[in-house]
Amino acid sequence: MKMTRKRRLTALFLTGAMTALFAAGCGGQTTGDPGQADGGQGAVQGTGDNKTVIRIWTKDRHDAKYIQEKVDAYNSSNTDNIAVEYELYTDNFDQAVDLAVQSGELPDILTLNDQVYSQYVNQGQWLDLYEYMDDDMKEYFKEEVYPGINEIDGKLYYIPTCGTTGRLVYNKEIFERVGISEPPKTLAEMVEDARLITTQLSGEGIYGFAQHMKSASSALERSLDLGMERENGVKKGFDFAKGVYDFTGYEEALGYWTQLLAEDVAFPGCESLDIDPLRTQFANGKIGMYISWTHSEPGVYREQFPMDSSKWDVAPIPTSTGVESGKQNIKFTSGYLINAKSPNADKAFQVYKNIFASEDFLVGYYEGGYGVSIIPQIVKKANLNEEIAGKTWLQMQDIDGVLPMTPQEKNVQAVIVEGEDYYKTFESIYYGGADAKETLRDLTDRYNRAYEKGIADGVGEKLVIEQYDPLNA
Amino acid sequence: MKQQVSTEHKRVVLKRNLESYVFMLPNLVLFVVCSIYPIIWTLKYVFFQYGGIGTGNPKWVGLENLARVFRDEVYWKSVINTFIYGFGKVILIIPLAFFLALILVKQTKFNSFAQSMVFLPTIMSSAVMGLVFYLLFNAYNGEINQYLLNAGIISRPINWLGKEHAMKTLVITAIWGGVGNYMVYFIAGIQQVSKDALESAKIDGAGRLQTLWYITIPMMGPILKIILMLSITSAFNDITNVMVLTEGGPNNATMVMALYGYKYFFPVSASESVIPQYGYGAAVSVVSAVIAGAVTVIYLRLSRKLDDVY
Repeated sequence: MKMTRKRRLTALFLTGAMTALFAAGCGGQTTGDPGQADGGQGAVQGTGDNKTVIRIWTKDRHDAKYIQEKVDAYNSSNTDNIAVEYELYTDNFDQAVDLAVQSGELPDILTLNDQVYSQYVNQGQWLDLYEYMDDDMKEYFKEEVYPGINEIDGKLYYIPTCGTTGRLVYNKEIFERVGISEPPKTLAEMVEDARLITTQLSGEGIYGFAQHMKSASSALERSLDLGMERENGVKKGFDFAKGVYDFTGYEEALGYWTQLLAEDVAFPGCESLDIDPLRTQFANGKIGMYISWTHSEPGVYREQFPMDSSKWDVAPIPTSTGVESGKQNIKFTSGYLINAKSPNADKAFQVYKNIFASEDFLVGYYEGGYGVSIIPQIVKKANLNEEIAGKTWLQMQDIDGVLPMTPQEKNVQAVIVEGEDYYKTFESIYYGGADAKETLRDLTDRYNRAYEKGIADGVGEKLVIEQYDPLNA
Repeated sequence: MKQQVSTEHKRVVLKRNLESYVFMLPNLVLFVVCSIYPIIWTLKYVFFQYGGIGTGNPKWVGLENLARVFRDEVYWKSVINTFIYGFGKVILIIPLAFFLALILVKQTKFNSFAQSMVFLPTIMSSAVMGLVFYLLFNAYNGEINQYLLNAGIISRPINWLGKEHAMKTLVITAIWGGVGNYMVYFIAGIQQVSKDALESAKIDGAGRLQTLWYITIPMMGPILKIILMLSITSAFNDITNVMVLTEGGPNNATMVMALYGYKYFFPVSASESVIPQYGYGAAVSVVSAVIAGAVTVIYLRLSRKLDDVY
């Protein structure tokens, strides 16, 4: 069984080769140029005809086709010697950005992502747009400047062009069948209507209410959160006037939610339901109502799960009392961040201005149903398609507004709460039967302890807005 | 002269050892990079508060993360759930796999086909498996409910993924996904049983059941010990099954300890609001590893008799 010398040498060579290959695989790339570490690598590469490449990362698939067409048109027509590369990262966008920041490979432009924006805004990662905007541009977008959100210390980091908020989505046919003349305004009416539908039509597999409760945060961010903002002016449990967290005011609303999700009212299996299976059942006429975002549903029922637009409509989210004590937040869905450390930041801004901030782009975006514009000039100019034009509450109304950011939204690491976050804690009330009063008191204590610890550690800041008026935030 | 021989001997031994080390090198590198380094990394972050890349420098917190694990009620609920899931899975999958192995051990064309069918779920993607079981078990139009309703066994749909039944559904999914694997181990074990012993039993007039009970099962002791250990340890680490079907819900009814630690590193969709906390996630992982290790040690002590083959 002795190995010959030749065999032994071959075996040793192969073993060495395997080790070397493995080591090479683990080693990653070395740039050899430390100066590259801070800049967008793609921006300094040239194409065959020495064009400057501007790389854009997006996380959005729904508008990718529309934007790619605009990018292609720009690439073929621009005389600035710029080539734009538009790249889609739908999975793990946040992690991809984190790694890119570390390795100095962040692209020149990124689509807006709240967490990514907040995480790096204090590290000088984003370009101050004011440095490059001319007076006309500043004037055009002046309504979209929100101090403390996109404008910090006199620097403008992005311009939001579209927004979304939550609405009650309901099936008009089902409402008519059971004799409901108008959508509910209060949570008590909502429970009553949902129960009526389930009682009368569950034999046909039709139920009054559904929500995709598999992910409490996904479901409640678009529903309960927004209802509470209008109900008592508190955003995600934070009271801006007092500068503290206070969840005790959620008790009544959670009581109604417990009823809505009970077996005699809710669509079976809401606990494990995702949003798309819910939408397929709504499109099949099996669900009376649910709550979702304004920007997504028209496109979903036009293309993804086709449903006759005349069969459904939207209405404001019902609240406990029906009294408007505050505005509900508009969440920005479109905006772009420019990498301040890119060696071609000036050209990146040029691309941004010529493509994404152009009126032609913004009007087409709104008309195409890719987002709900929050720019008054665009809203005025756009010819809306039937789904949006016929449903008043799909557009932004007086009940909607841009609210300040909570301490946790400003910096997630500033409020590290011990135990379950408030979404999961609510789950223990409506599904677990936990005592609401005691649970909400404990939740308030835990959030305030975490908030104060963040301030003490120097990670967060005390936030109190003197004379805060939730109706005129 | 003696000195010369000794030096030559050392040189030969060194050369031979060097060859062995070179052969071991690829695996050693893999082992260090993929096992040792992550363990050291995890142990280090147990003592820090750290939110991941781009969230500032890790902050030393001493034993605080570990103390928090012991105060965390949801974590201990997940530990109990892990034991329920593991116990439910092992107690059902082992007899079922053994039974299938017994009836399919004989080499026939049908048995080969049947073995492949039973083994198929083992190589199926967990994501596909989760989707299939969601379609089977979902409350509103799942196949299982449709069959039961049509047969008149139930009058209203059962919420298989609700808090009452979700754990049972997970155990069923785990059995379906893993039984083929254990069946193959058992078939290998049965084939190792001494033919002489089986023939002797036959000559002595032992029936099939007697042969099974007194010859086959005792002689499979060592392999049974390994199969049991594999099934116990895999039950402790099984998060893909839970992740694709329930993500630990509803209201943590199916949260298992491995998934609970995982979500602090990579928030899954059902807990996407969880803020990444690498330090606390590391502490949860270390405590979970200690629990799993303790269970394995206890099992190995209790199962020492299985090594005795008569």
